[in-house]
Amino acid sequence: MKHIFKKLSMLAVAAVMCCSLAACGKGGGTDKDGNVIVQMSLMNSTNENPGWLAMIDAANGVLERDGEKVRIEAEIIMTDSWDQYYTKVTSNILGKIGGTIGRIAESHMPQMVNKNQIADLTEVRNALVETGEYAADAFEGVAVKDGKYYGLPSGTQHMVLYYNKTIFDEYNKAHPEAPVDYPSGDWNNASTFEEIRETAKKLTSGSGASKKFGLSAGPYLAYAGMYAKNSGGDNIFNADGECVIATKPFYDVYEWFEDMLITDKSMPSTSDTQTLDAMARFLGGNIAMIIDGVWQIHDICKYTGDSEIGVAAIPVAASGNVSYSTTFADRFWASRNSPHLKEDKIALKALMSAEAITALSSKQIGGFPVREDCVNNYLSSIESTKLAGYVDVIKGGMAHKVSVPYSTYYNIVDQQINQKMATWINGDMSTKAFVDFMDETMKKGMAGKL
Amino acid sequence: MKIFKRIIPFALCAAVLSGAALAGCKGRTPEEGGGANFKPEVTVKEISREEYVNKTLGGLLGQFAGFLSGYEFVQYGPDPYIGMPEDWFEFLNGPYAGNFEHFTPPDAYRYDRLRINEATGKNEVWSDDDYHIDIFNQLIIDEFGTSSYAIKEAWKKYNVGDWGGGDEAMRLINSADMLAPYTGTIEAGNRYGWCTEAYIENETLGMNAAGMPNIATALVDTFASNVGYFNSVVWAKFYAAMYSLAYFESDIVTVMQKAAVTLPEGSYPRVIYDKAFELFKKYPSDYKAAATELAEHRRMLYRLDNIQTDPDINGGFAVLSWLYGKNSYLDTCKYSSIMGYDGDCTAAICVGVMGILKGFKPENEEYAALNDTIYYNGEGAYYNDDGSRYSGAVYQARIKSKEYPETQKIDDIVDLYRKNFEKILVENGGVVKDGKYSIPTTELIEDRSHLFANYDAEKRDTSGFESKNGKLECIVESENGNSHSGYGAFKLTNVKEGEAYHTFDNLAKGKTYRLSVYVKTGEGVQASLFAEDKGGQRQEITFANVTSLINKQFIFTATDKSMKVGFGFAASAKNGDSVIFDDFMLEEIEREEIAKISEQDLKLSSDAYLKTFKMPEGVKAGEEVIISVRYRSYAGNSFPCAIYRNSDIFGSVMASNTSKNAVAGYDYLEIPYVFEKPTDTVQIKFEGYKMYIGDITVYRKTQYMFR
Repeated sequence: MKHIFKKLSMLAVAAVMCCSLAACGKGGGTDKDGNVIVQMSLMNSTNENPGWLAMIDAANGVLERDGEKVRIEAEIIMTDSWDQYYTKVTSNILGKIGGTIGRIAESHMPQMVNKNQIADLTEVRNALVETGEYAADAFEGVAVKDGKYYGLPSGTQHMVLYYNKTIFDEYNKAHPEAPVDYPSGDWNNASTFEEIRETAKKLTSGSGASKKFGLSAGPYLAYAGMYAKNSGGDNIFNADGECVIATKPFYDVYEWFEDMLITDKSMPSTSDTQTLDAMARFLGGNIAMIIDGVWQIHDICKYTGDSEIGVAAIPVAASGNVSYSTTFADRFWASRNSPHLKEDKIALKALMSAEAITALSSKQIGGFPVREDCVNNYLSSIESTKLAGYVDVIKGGMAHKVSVPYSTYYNIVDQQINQKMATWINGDMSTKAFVDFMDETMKKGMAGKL
Repeated sequence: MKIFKRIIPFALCAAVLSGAALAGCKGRTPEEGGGANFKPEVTVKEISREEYVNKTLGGLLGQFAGFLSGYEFVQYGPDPYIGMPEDWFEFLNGPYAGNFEHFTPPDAYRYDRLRINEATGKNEVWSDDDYHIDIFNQLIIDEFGTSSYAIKEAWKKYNVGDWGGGDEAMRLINSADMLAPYTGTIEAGNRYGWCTEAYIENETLGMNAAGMPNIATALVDTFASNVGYFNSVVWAKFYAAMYSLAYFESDIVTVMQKAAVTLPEGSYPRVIYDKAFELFKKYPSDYKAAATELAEHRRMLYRLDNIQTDPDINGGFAVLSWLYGKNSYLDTCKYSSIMGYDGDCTAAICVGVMGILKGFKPENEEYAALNDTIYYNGEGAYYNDDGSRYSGAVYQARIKSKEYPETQKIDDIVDLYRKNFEKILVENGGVVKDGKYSIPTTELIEDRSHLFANYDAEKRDTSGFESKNGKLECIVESENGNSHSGYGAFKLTNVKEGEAYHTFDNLAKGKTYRLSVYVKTGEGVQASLFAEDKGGQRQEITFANVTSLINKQFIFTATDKSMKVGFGFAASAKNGDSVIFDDFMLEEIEREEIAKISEQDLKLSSDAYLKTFKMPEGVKAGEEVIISVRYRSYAGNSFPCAIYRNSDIFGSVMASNTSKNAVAGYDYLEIPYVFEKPTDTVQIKFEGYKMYIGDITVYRKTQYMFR
């Protein structure tokens, strides 16, 4: 057997119970006023749920205002893993149950499209573009197939470097002779790999469970393109569409990781984060710097207590290199076999309204709004937090975005590389061999041999 | 092998293991009394000891071979990888043999289960849940017997390390001396009883009952329900029947078709079995397409947390593997290894059956590789992994006691199978003589289930049921909580003496029936399960305050051909009280009363109830019987009830909460019991609680289709 243990906090479970009970019934149906109930699948997140529920409330307000006989109800899936959420919603679609619309990570969109389970939303996309609410190019990317649009962007989320200023300050107070600088927030003049490595080494101390680490950053394929571009290379593929992982920029990036993971031990390994993940350790003041997404802004503002937090650009290989940031755009979808596809589309359009997006972004959830007219609201919501001084840095990342080249095979490539990662981190595989393995696996994926 | 065809009723009447399997000694036929025929015709077939041992060795080696070749829980991105490429298959060299070329598992240090013993220079097969309990079962039967008590005592003595349902069973045994089938149930607290353990760990019991598939299913009914319930146990019986039947067959499809009687018509295992045949026909040369489409029929199951352990889809993959394998040992191993989901377990099951069909013969395609990698002309061994040969946590299925052999020769394990087979054979009227076995073979007892359309609420309406004095609705949900399997469940809300029932028009008057159903009530609510004929003659049990799903069984005698069977509220129930139910499964059973210990009205006892029992006539020493005790409990919750035999702890069973107060309601404690002496003093302990105790009856043990 070997089942999967779900790790949900009591708070999360309680939140889910509330929403699930509300979602029980005959898969939607109509309410007492004759409104068609459209259920919306959402992945459970104690911290994000209020944002998404506020968005649904606002969308329902728009529907009521416009006289639409449609209302949206949340169906929160009891998992905080995108993979498990994906499994559940795709099963639900087959079982003709649960949400007929929902949200999905960009990484999983190609599979959803490929499964032929989700509806063509071109009509909704065209309407949103025609009214000028959205730019035409906002809908491009993984949700497009054969000229049809199967997903609507729910917001974009890019990577930044968060750092605990308090840890820096305390270090500098104790070492006035050799202080460390805060990482640079200038995307055109970001800190270098070497500078970050040296800083991380200095900020690493202790051992065992109480060990403090200088930096946490995932050497995952999803971010490899970003780091490679910051090293002067390409984002996985060159202009001709050829895989270029087995090139110097990638070797350099992974050697940087090797230096910190294996040589300096200034980065936590998977075993260090087995009981408490890296972000939880950062929030607890146990990690000085962490490279993560803007989706963490809400938690960072809420849980870092008295610590001062800063935001910086993603490091680069050499001074002068432009810094890029991996950017994700999650999507809304609708089920192809929904009994009320027309109402689903009306609901989605309401979710894309300024009112709904504003309600979401006011809570710093969902990332950067794709609607231009909502961006300032998102940024001003950050200005009321402890990250107020870093709004420009966060905004700057949007101008340096690099997308993950997701495809139907990308996920399996990513997975096989992740499976091999422990072998590399444990020192049973050289860095060069690991990068070569990444390259070979990607090429196998491209050739349909996985 | 020679085949004799004759009826040997007297020998079979003495069958120790399974009354249901081979009873029917009263000579009842459907024509005479209606109902199911529990007495399949006996054909005596002969097999040499040498042939039996060779086929059993083939079966055990097949288990190892499948496991060492199969891929488990491989993902393709976020999806399970269904239909892996054929070139991923390498006989005896899959991930569990340390080959991580195509799939790198987590914790590789403990994953490799085929390792060289430095002392002998030979590979040893290391323990895994695919077979460690199968092998342990042989020690149980040899040292303790086949009763629930025997299993409990053995597990306690040897301290089983297992996953899922087995791990939970061990916890319940250690904490409460819990007996099967309670150890496998939701009500006792087995969180993972739905999982695969029931069938991956017990199907080779079929090799203890070669040619006697009803004995095999009877053994499984006890052993598998120690670790699980529901469809996992149904599949365990299907596979065990195949292991039993394979000794006298040469075609895998025939074996499957004969064993399929264990899959109740209309049940989801049966639906999936039929679907696999349909898809094989649709995609005769595309295993991936067939498997992918089959997986689209996966159903939700209460508390299932890893879809790749779904017993039904894994069962369908096994059937597909046998179909695409087309009687080839290696092809069957290949398809079962790469089909997907719990592939190492599926392959172990599938290849084990092929090993029996083919025997372990030098001319076979798989012989050389098996011999050179595992068997070594009889020198090959099995290692019960205690973690001493690598650093890091063990996290593997094993038997933990130091008294358990660390290493066993494969031949010695096979010899235990043989020894136990001979014992069971003789107990059931067979003959061991001159190196030959005369086996009273039978077909399987016919399907005696009474499943009707929408018994499982999956039509998402209330069809199949009627109601009165209350509101019956079908509730549909995407997360199981009210529903047990699939997405639908029924809810009856009381107005005044509300009822919801299905009318069965095809019962046999005088015959006994058992309803298995998953139920849940509102807080403080009491409901009854009833069976009523047209004349108003009513039988019932009650349950109360069941605030999360549990299984209830209700046994009744048909007093008419047509009876209403369902749920009801008493006159005292409140308007708005409700009961939720799902998987409403009826079957006809054999229920042979062998002694009435006491006939009394329910009387109140505090903390314990003591009674002296005389062993009924015809019951042998060591034979397991069922002591049925009518009781009323209003404790507010279910709790383990300890059974003492002559002052020593015998085991425990779960006492359900029957009533919301001391006034009304009752159920029956069904205690699997083995007499120690001609007269035993039996004490039922419920310390801290009060219970009413009534009639006590002893029945011969029987087997059920549903658990």
